[in-house]
Amino acid sequence: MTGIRVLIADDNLVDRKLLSRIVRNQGNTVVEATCGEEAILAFREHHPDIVLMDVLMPGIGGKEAARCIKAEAGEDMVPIIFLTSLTDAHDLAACLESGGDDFMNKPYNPVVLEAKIRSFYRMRDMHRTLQAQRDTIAVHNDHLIREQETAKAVFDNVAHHGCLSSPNIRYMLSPLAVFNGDVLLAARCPGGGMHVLLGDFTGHGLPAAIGAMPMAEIFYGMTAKGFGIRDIVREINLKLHNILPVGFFCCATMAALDFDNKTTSLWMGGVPDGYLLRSKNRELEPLCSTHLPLGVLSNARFNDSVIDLNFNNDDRLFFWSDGILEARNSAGEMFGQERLEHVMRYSISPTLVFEDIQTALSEFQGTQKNDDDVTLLEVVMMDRELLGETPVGPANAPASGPLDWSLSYRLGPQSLQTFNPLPLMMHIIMEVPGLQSINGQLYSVLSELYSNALEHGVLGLDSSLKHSPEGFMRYYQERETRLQQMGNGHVIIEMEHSGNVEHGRLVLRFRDSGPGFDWQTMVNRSRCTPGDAHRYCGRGIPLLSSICTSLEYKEKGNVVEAEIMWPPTAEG
Amino acid sequence: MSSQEHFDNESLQTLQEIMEDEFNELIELFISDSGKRLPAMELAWETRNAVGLRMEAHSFKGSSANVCARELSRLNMELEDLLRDRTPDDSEWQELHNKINAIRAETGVVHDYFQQMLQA
Amino acid sequence: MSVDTNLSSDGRELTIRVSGRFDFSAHQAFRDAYENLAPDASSYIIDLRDTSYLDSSALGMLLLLRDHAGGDSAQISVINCNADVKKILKISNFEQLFRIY
Repeated sequence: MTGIRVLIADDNLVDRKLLSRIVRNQGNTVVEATCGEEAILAFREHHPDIVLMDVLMPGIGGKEAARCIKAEAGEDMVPIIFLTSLTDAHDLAACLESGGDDFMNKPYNPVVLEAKIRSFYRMRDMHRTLQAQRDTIAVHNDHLIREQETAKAVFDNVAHHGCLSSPNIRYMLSPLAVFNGDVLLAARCPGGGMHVLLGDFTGHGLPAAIGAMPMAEIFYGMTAKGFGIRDIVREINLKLHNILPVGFFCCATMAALDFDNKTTSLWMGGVPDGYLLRSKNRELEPLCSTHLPLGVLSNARFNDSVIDLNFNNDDRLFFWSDGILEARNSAGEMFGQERLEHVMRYSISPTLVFEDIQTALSEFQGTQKNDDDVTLLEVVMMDRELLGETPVGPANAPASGPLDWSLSYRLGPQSLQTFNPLPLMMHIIMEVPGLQSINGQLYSVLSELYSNALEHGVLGLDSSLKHSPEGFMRYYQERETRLQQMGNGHVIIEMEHSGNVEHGRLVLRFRDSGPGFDWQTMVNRSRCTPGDAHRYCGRGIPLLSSICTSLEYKEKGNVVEAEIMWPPTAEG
Repeated sequence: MSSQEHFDNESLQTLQEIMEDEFNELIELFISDSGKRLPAMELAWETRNAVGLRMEAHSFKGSSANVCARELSRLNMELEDLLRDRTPDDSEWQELHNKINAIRAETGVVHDYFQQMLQA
Repeated sequence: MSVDTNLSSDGRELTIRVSGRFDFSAHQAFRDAYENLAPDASSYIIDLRDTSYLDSSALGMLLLLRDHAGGDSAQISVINCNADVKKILKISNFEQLFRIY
């Protein structure tokens, strides 16, 4: 090999010549210098791999030259071997302190010299490799950080057009939570409700973050289109099951809030217990996960059943990812469920529980503090009016769409049992540009008329049950039972639209297979006592009459027709 | 003359092998270099320059060792050691001169030996 | 962490014993245990008597084994779980997928 470039600095011509010859004989390239100053200049010019330096030279001498060369080399490793006939230990030590790496005694032994040159060259080579690897790692790390920032920005665009800032939500989430696998999503439903999802993907970093994207897309997309919690968790599970490798999954809690009926539906899979803190008597109800995490089971085996709970004003739901339970103090103990429960039970006021948990956690962790993995969520029930506007639907809809159309859609027993037609109906209606701005109200109309047709018409349920909270729960149990046992029956949805680009008229007609009811008497009576309208139409009627230009029952009461003119009038 | 007293013959042979065609040149360089060492030592001695004399002895020690002139290197080392970390008094200076004379005599022996080698 | 295995004499039942923390560091050893050492095993026993802790990547590893062992038809028992380990398995509702003792 000719690769090793050796600088020889020695004022003694004889010694220099001899050494030069030995080194060249071994296949190396030699640069010669006759004093310390020359050695420094030669180093700058030739960048030798190794320096052989006489200690005693005229001028600045070997030690000083070695110091300068080491300083100039900086991070690069340039081995310096001192050539010496010194025998005094102090002198030798002084050589090493000036930056020398080794000695070579005169007279030179060519075998030892060659071994030293090779060994130092290997060391320098290794040092260079390490430096190069370190630099590569640094570049990769910078790159990774930039990628994470970009990925986070993309994720924020997908995830954060939601309503996490609503006054009924409080949360604690690491700024880079998506990279430790925690996801928090919230969105208003077209009918006025709210969906909230707290997810915790297995693993960390990009693999954990990657599943969050489709999850957020599905959550927001389906919520905006009016799908219910069960359809959404099922769809997310299907998607994650298909895209995540076996062994990766997402522990999740999803809550659907109904601000009008004061209820919540919960789906919990693979998550630590959450809690419902009642404002009344401060009762604390643990909420246990009953399902496997999302992404584990195939669609056929997936269970989308939810827990339905009364959720009155100022009742609070608390959820967290397991990071909070596993947060450790200096002694290595975990924060754990008991401490959390204690805080929730003994806070001065339910409104302070959230802060108290944060404080307790912070005090527990002390200097070990590392909130990166801790996600905490509080959801409070309040009146819908306090939440602000329901966001309007798709903002980027086409400017022109179908204006003259009609359809009739008949749902038989099997469809009624397993299918929610509202998203599909909404999708068709939303093709009319002029109706997009009132999509929330339209969804309420559809949803109210459909559940009336199905529940009162086909299933014959009595809405008076719904007057008490307990009855409300019984009503839904009964609804589920009758639905599963239903042998025949149908609902026909008819829709007609006419108009032009400026204004138009939408007629919705729901025809059910039920016996109908004496609507004329009811309507007449309700003129005197408007509150009674609730008796047969559920609680949505005042809302309906504010949106619909007309709302009429027909035939034997099994047909209801709503007319909606757009643009909506100012007071509508 | 037994060269064994003056030279490390085995190493000298190795040196010859290492230097090959440049061996003669190296020996000539040594002869001319060491020829200049003695006047320099003499001057340092006359001016009582202990440091200068020691540097000369140190350097001469190294180069004579490299050409395997074992005895010459040893004499230079003795001279260097006599000057280590101290300033000699008058009687010691006299003793040092004896050492220089010994080095001069040994240099002569080494030169003669090398000259013979070069002519052979 | 260490992973020890024991194969029944007929080669059909594989016992995998994980000691210490069952987390990502056990990944390779755990996988080797069922993929390479006993490719013909038809039922599996995961013995966690010496397992002090189990994290979500361990749950992932159990799912991988389940997949390897035939998915829904897999025969896997997880035995000798201490209280903490049992709690984690319970929270994750893994008793729906594994026989846990």
